[in-house]
Order: sequence, then structure tokens, then C-alpha cells
Amino acid sequence: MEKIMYVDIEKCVACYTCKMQCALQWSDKDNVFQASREVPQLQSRIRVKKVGNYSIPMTCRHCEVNPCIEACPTEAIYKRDDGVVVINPAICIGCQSCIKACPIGAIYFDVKKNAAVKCELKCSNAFEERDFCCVESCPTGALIYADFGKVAKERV
Amino acid sequence: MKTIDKATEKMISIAEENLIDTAFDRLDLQLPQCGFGELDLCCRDCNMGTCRIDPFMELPGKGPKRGVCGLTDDMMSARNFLKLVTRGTSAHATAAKNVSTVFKGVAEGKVPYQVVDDEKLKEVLEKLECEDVSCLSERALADFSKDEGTLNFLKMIPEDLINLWQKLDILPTNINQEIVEGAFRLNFGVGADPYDQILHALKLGIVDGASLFISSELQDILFGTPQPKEGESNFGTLNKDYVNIVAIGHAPVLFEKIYEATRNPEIRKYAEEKGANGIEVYGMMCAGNELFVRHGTPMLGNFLQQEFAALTGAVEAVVVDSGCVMPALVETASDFHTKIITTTKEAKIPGAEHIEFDYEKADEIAAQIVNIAIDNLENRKEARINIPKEKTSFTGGYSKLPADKIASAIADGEIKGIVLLWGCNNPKTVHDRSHVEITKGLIKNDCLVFGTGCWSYAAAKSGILTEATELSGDNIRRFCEDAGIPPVVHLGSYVDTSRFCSLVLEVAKALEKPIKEIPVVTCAPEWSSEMEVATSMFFVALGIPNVFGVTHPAGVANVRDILATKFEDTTGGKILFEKEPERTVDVILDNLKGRG
Repeated sequence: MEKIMYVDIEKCVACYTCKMQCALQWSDKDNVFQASREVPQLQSRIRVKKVGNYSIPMTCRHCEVNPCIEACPTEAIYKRDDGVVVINPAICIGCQSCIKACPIGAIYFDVKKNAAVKCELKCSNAFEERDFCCVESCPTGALIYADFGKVAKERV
Repeated sequence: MKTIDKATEKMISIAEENLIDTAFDRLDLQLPQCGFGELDLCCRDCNMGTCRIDPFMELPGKGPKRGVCGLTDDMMSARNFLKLVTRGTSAHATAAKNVSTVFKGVAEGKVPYQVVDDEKLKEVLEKLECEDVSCLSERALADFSKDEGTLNFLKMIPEDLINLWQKLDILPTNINQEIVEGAFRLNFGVGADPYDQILHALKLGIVDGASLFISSELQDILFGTPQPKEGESNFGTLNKDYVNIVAIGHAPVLFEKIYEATRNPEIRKYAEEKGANGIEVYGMMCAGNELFVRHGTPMLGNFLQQEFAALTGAVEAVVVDSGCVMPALVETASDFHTKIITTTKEAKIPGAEHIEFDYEKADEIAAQIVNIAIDNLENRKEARINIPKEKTSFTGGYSKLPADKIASAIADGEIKGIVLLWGCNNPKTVHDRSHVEITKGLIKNDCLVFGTGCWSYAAAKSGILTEATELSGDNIRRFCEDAGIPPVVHLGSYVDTSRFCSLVLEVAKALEKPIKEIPVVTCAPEWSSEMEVATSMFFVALGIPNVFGVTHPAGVANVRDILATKFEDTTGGKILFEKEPERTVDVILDNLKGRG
């Protein structure tokens, strides 16, 4: 059965553990002390946004149909064979069309690089072997990666 | 791997079988630990927070680099560091205050304690220019309330160093005042300058050191100066046929009385009537060190082993005072017959039986606690007894150290240096491994190793206290045969760290050099408690480099730099960090080499 990423916003306490873990994936250092001093600074690909009384972690779902790919004029965004949606920074012209197209706000703009960045599943092996690091590290279980049917049932 | 100790490994699997979680399991559940906290980038000191500083690049480029009040990462980190030192100092200050109060009671004849070691008393009276016990007790208590001059218990510090401290403005006036200032500096909108905060931490380090001196000197007078003796360590020392009492905590004031009670013929007879062959008190952590160095009682285990005492099924009561006591003891013991008894008003644990200790009624309270243990024997279940076989013999409890011989061996280059290993355990690193590996590495390289606190158990259990001579370099072996001490010297509890400081002061005096030119380094490779951070600042003030393991107590690079470099030219002390035990040996050797 198809697995989906689901956020239980009631459970998110905005501790930013997911952000911290995500940024760490982009470093070859195994500890936060060294990783935090890397130059250029590492970037997290998940963001926690405050909306009303809720905190909402936002990250790419690697959708089946991809508005971001369709919106990209230079084909910098593409879907790898394993289903992971990635950006080729060499081709990205920084037009931000993908950011506007993304329905869940999971693509961010890096002003310094003048390029879009997003979750490229550095942490996981093609959805199979282990959970996403944001899901795995979430101390309250607000981020869920599970069977669509199971999540849908629990939501009702 | 969680531990290098076989007995602990067995107890971990017994815990697993019984579905009881231990510190090791609870750490797993905490992972990943919050990176903001680990990096000192989290501040909840005021109600505008909680504030966090993003160590990475925030997208789209506007990450919080300051707290709401404007605190930057290094200000936050320095505040957190001062917080550790203030709290750590308060622990040793409280211990020193307590023993000073008892001492005053002795002078007034109000408490059932007396001067046991007249020779030591004479020595301390001379040092502090006092005439009698009552004067000494006043001098000790005055250190908590003076409003001019400096602490009486800094008399052993040479004048040059006192002058330097005065120049740096880190000479403390009184113990309480400096701790209050530490807390004040942490207030809303008070201390911000990282260097200045660290400077106060250094002052608190001196307060901490003086507190250690007060405790160990007065305890020696009241309970006797330790002499080297043989003993045994680890869970294998538990006697199945005895009423077993485990003492966890620090100060000997209570535990000495419990030891006395277990030797009382009437109480022993009562235990026999209840079907026991005898009664014994086993110490863990510092309490165990204190009991061992004076009476040779078994040293059961160190910090990470405390939860396993109840799991052996053969312990009637665990008596705790304060400090390094895991609240988990109660939950762990709830499945067994073991009673957890708290005794300190500041350190109650929900679910434990609280019998408040009162110095004036020390004998009755100790007897009451021991009787509770004896009465609990009938609840013991034979089928649930699981005592690991492991026990190791060792010799420890050295207090008189041949400073002159050590000094001339250093001058001749016979020994490369003297090193103190001290401090807790931490489940974030393999239990006992760093303590043992670093000790081995150092004696192989002709260093003389001293140790206190939970290190003592790691050393005793692993057998290096006995095997040290075979493992040492030739020079050390020759020197030790001549000087009459082993290459690895067990001093005792945490407060006995002051004995090492005395040794360093005497060696410096003999060599007529400041401490910063003496090859001496300290190392807390498995530290957990804030007390270690406080005492490490005393070492820095004395001019001794200290190496921490596990993680650096300060998370931000700028604060680490202050600690590593800013005092090198003045006192000569610094705080260093190395995670891997093998590399720690190199760091220590490098630092010894650079000095004198």
C-alpha cells in the first residue's frame, strides 16, 4: 500500500529537532558540534511554521504528480528513478516558480546561492529502508510516515 | 557495547528480562538529544523565551541569531557554563557547610561525634593558626559569612597565587556571597559578557576548591585520616546470607553512623534473630569511597551501577543522602523488596521512605535505618536473588603522599608528570572504558596516576589498581618501588580531590616553581555532573589543565576558546576536550610535555 507523510499538528511542540536532524544529514560529520561549524553553513530542508495556535512542520512529500516539476522552466527539478524529487542547482535560475507552485510550501529559496532548495531525502533510502530522519527524530510523533489507509482511518 | 564491566553487563540483561528500564534504555529513548541544548543554544532564563539560536543557515536567510533580549550564541553559552559552575559549587559548599556545622556541634559537645584524629587536628589547627576545635569550627563557618578578606581555607595556597587571583579579581570573599553573585549574574538582563561570566566561574571554582578542602580536612579530623588498606569491589561482594545495606551519596557524616550501627552488638544480635548471618554496609559512589578508606567496607559500584543494587534481590535497604542519586532508584526497586530511604531535606524522592537526618540524634536515626533494613529481610525472595560473581581485590585509600620524592623524580625526568583522573560515568560513552583505558595509557608512558570519585570503582573493578606495576613503564616502576606507592593511586571520594591539590602544591613548593610549570594534568573522561565543571575551574585557577571527555561543557566555539586560551598566560590552567580515550592520553601527554 502507498505510504504517505502526514503531520499531526496537535502534537508538534516546535522543538525543531526535525530541522536539526535534517541539517545534519547534509554534513559528513557525525556530531552536531562539528557540523554546526561547517562553512558554508548547513541548511535544513524542513521548516516549522507557526500558524495560529499550531506549529506545522513543512517538508516535501515527493508527490505522485509534481506541480514543482511542471512549473520549472529549465527542468532543474526532476524526479529520480527512485521517486525522489531533486533540484539540480547548476541549472536552477532562481525564478522561484516552483516555490509558488508547491501546494504545501516545502521548497525554500536560498538567497546566497540564488537557487531553490528542498528535501532530497538524504536521510532515507528510497522510502524503503528507514523512516525519514525528520519522522524518526520527532520526539512527540507529530510527523508520521505510514500507509495511506491507516492514516486515513485514524484521521476519521 | 554499554559497559566493560562484566557484572554490570549481567545486571543490564537481568533488567531486560524483568522489563525494567535503566539509564542506558532511557538514554536510547532520548535520542536524538536536542541539538540546541547540546550546543548551548537554548535559553529559558526569562519569560520572553524559550529562545533558540539557529546554528545552521535558516532559509530564506533570516534565522534567529539572537535571543529576544539580544543574547548571542556565545553569551548564551557562557551563561549556561556559569549556571553549571554555580550549581556545582553549591553542592560542595553545602557539603562543606554541613560538616562545619557538625564540627561546631563537636566543639559545643552537642552532637554524638568526636575528634578521632588528634594528629590531623593539630596539623589543621597549625595551618589555620587556630588554638582549639571551637576556633577551627568558627573559622570554617566564617568562610560562609565573612565580609572582608578572603576564605580561611585558602591558607594553604601560596602567596604568589593569592596575589595573582587578587589581580584577576577572582579572590572570593565568602562562599555564600559568590554563589549568590553567580545566580545574580544569570538574572534577566544581567550578565552578558562571556569573558566576564567565565571569570566569575573561575572565582566560583576557587570557592568550590576551598569547600573541598573544608570537607576533607574536617572529615579527616572527625572520622580519621585514611590509611592504605585492602578491599574488594563490585557486586560479587554482596553476601547472600547477610542483611545488606547500600549507602549511596556523598558525606560520611550519616554513613559513618550507619556503619557504627551495623557494628553494634545489640543490632547484630537482632539481625541474627531475624535469620541473617551478619550485617554489612556497602558503599556506592563517593559514600562507598569514604567508607572504604576508613573501614575497608566493600565498594559495590559506581554511578551507573546504582540502579542495579535493588535488582540483585539481596539488598534490604538503599540509603541515600544527596547528589548523584537517580530518582529512578524508586521505580526500579518497586519490583523488588529493597527499601529506598532518603535522608536529606533537600533531596527527597517521591515514593521513597524519608527519614530526615539530624546530627544531634545521629545514633538513633542510624539505628532506626539499620533496623528497617533488618526488618525488611523477611520480605526477601530467594528466587529473585541474582548476585553476579564478579569481585576484585585492590589496595587503596592513600592520603600521605611522598611529595618530595615525586618532586625530585619530576626534576630528574624519571616521571613525565602527575595526572588526576576523576569524575562520574555517563551512559553516552561506554561505562568505565575511558577511565580504565586512559589510566593504562598514562602509566605505560611513565605518568603517575591518581584518582578519585567514580573513577575509583572503574580502576578497582578492572584490576588496574593491582596490576598497575606490571603495566607501567620502567621508570615509574622503579620510582614506585622506591617511594612506596603504586603507579595508580586510589585517593578516595570526590572531596579527596583536595588531597591531589595538596600534593600539587607541595610538589610546586619543593621544586620552587609555580604550578603552571609543573607537569600536572587532570582529566574527567566520563563526566556527567555539574560538580565536575565547578571543580575543573578550581584546577584552572590553580594552573592545571583539565581534559573533559564525552562532550565539552561549553557548546559554542568562542566560549571554548576563552576556556582554552584566556588563562594560559596568567594562572596557566585551561579546559580542553577530547572524546576518544586513546587520543585523550596523547592530549594529556602533550600538555605535560609543554610544562616545565
